[in-house]
Amino acid sequence: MVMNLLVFKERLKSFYAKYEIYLTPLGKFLLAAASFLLINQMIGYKDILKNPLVVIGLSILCAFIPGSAIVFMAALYLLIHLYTISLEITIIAAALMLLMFLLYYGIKPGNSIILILTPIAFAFKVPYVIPLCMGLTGSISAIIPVSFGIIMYYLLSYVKQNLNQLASPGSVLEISRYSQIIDSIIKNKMILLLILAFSITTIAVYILRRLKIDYAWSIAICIGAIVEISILLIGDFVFAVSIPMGEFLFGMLASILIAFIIQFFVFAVDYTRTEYTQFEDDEYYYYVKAVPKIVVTTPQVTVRRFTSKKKKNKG
Amino acid sequence: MLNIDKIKLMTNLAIYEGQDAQNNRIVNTFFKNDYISYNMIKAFINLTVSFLIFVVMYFIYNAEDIVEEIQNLDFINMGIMLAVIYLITLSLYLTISYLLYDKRYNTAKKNFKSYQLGLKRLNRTYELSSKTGDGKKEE
Repeated sequence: MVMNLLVFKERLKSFYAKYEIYLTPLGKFLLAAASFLLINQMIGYKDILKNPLVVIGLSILCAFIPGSAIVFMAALYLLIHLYTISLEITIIAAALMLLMFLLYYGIKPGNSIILILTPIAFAFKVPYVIPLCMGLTGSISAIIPVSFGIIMYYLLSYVKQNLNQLASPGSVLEISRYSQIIDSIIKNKMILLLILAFSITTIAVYILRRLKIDYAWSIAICIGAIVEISILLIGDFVFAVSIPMGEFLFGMLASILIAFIIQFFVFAVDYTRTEYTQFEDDEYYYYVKAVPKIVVTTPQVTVRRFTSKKKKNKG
Repeated sequence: MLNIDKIKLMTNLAIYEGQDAQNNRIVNTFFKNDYISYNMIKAFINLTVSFLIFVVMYFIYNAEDIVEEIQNLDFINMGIMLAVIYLITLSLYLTISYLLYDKRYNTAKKNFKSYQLGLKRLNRTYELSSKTGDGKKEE
């Protein structure tokens, strides 16, 4: 069983190394399409943007631009939708995004994909996988974009739920509408609890997986999940927020499963990617494709050598 | 004839040039102090703009209360409060960015040094190969 899995992993690695040039744009396309569809489903009120052709076209464009540009596109897409609903919500969302980009991405560029991944994980009801994965792959600073992703998701769900109130002009004073929207973020204990739980879980997983012990990654996932469950359940009582239990347990189990699958298959595929370089010397032009070596097979090879040496000694 | 070791070395160097172009630029265009102070100025502007956005949002949020109580408000006290909050966040943010950019410059420098070492080794293989090449010709 384990052997089969390992063989499958090897195949996956070589497959990824071979077709990396196609797989990466495909992944970006899917990510962009998912984020556009999520925005459409939650607050799609600009009809032109809801046109499937527009969604597909934009997603194809996103397949070939860097990750941070995808985030920028998604942010713009979101703001245009929001603007059709009301000016106040647009200003608040834009200000939040601007704060995020100035304060965090100003000093630490990269990893902006997390901003999109977090709301998408919420939409698929498995948000709990995010801190586990961030702890495994990223660093502790991922806490900030993840928290921002949580706030964005809850802002969108607030807009979705209170659409009539927000959209009809004149029903409430404009200023009070601002306060109402900001209140929905500040006074939402659920957001606070999620940020707290996700941050602590990320830190726990990050510290555990860096320990020099066997199965550090698996242990990190398990203990991280336990930490996450306990904080959410305790917070459920302390903050008096109601987490729907069935959904929570199902989402949590699915998240742990996803974390293990990702740990086994994706992270094992050496992320130091295939490199294409070209250079020349006096005699040749070189077009080099440098594929990272597969490391897993090495221990098996050394075992064989060991036994053969023993035989030689005996003989 | 193809020299495998030389190709390996050149590939590594080419990968560095492609991937760590950022590093290269940091080390080549800045001295450490310049690099850090340039980025600290950027961080200072970023934080100041963010703080202004924050203050404006706060005032709009509390606009109704402020308009109602405008005569009772102690503007001097409020100004001092804002200034103190601003200075505290600023010093925190600048400290964090100082540590970050210091570390970033050091790693860039380290990578650049290993790149230079690779270049030297490449140079040596050239010298060696030219010697052996001459030898072959003489034979």
